[in-house]
Amino acid sequence: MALIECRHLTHVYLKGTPLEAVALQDVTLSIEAGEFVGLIGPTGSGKSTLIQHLNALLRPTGGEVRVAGINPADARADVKTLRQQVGLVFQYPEHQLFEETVYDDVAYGPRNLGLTEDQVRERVGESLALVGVDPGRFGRRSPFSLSGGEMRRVAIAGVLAMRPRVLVLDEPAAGLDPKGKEEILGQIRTLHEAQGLTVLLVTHSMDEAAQLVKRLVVLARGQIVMDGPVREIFRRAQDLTALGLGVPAITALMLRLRSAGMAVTPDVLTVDEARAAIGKVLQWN
Amino acid sequence: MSRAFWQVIVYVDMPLIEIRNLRHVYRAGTADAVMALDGISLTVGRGEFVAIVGGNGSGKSTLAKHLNALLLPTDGEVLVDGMNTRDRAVLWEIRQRVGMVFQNPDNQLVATVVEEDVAFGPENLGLPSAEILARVDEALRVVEMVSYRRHEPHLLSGGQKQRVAIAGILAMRPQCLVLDEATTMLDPQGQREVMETIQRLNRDGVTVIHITHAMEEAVQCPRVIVLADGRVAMDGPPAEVFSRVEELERFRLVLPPIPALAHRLRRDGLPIPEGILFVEELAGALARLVAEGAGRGRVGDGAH
Repeated sequence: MALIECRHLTHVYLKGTPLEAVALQDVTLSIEAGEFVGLIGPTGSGKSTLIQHLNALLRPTGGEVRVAGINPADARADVKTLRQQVGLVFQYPEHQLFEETVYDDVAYGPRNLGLTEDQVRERVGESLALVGVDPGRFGRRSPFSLSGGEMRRVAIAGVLAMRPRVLVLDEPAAGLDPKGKEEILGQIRTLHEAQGLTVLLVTHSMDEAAQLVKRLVVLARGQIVMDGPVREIFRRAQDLTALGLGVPAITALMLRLRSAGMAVTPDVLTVDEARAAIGKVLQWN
Repeated sequence: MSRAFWQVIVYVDMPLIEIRNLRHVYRAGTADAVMALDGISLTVGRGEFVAIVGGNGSGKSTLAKHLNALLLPTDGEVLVDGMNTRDRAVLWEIRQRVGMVFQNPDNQLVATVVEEDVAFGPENLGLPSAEILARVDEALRVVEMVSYRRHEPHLLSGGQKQRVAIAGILAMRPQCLVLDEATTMLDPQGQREVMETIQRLNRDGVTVIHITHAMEEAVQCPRVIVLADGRVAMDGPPAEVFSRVEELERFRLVLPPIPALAHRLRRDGLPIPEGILFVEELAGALARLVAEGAGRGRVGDGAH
């Protein structure tokens, strides 16, 4: 069975009131362990509603959700274990930092699990290392004295310290400077590749999706309108533009070159791939 | 070349904003003192559209707050339309000339109805109600939010909220709009809406200073200022600034994909002109290469 299973998931906010709003409608989605999936869609398409179902912050008003076999709707469901399996990193997670030191902030979750202080120390060290923050140098500092990018990495370490199997990140690079964006996204890629972590990345940026994920799920008006390998999705430039999403700049260039008669391969996502594709056509030495 | 060009503007026209050797130290005189701005000198002429970019902590927001006297210099001078921000007697005149839009669309709107929010500033000026109404109408029209005038702000999208915030400032008839990462928290649609709005305002003569992390936005501005460690590290047209790739990296900036690809292709030895910023430009340059190459028989069909 897949690690995450949504079957005919529907969520209606304020059901039965005049303000009733359908946020998700008949969403069926399965994500296997070890996948790196992007979730993209315009504002109001239901992305946040969907991810809040993945660790039972919201319950379906129709259909069902299972994570690692646990269905939170079951009377005896082990919701605590479910929440441990799914690490949810909200937008601007650094707003949730609250402890006096970086160490204590990351240690908060493991301590609540009732681990010994030795085990806690091990987890804090391991999680900070995973996000590229040196525990020796930063552990005793106040999280509020760090730069925006560092704060965000500490906040993600706090989630990793629970040793989740799935990491769900809502716009993890929002608001960072361009280098900070590259760093945090690189770190997430490493977590996926080196730790085998299953990652679901919610993003507004086609360029970000192009660089990172292997599979892309496109949400619009509460429904899944596309789901497949990222290269195949980006071939549907017109459909994506109609949804107000567009395609990555590099893909746009390739489509443009093709329509100008250059026989470049269309499913190119990164600067390096584009360089190779253009080189092939121009055949310089 | 660019420097001389800007100097011409300075001579032709008294600059709207003139900053002379501005230094700003937070918590000055304590052990935690931080030098946020370290000797900034620059001028912005009337009607300019300037992007200010730089890494986190480079001093962008501190600089923005000096432009309408939310902060005062530790050293040096900031002149707005000839008025010194240190002169308390002209504080409100300065703030009327330079309006600020901030990052978070959720904490800039004060009223429960859009048109009341836009009217807030002019009401505080004590203007007659006919004048207030006229200003609110005009401001909402400029940001294309007239049909939302009786809506509740908290139900708008992020882009719409920022447009209402801009309208509230426009109702004060400022000469200059400073946007401090006003697009950072918006989705691509909201970012486009705000960019289009400020471009339209600039065409109508409003000076725009747009602080942003989005290099895709900076390339659309005619002048780009790069801040690093509280100093002006670069100042020029985007084609020039974004051709200095190695320096930008050092300043925690990353080229957008198209200029990055153009740069890589040039390094590969392809004769692609400098200063390429947009898809159409690069596509055009490559198409010309293909046409020339075809004549010399060195272009393949890409089939192998």
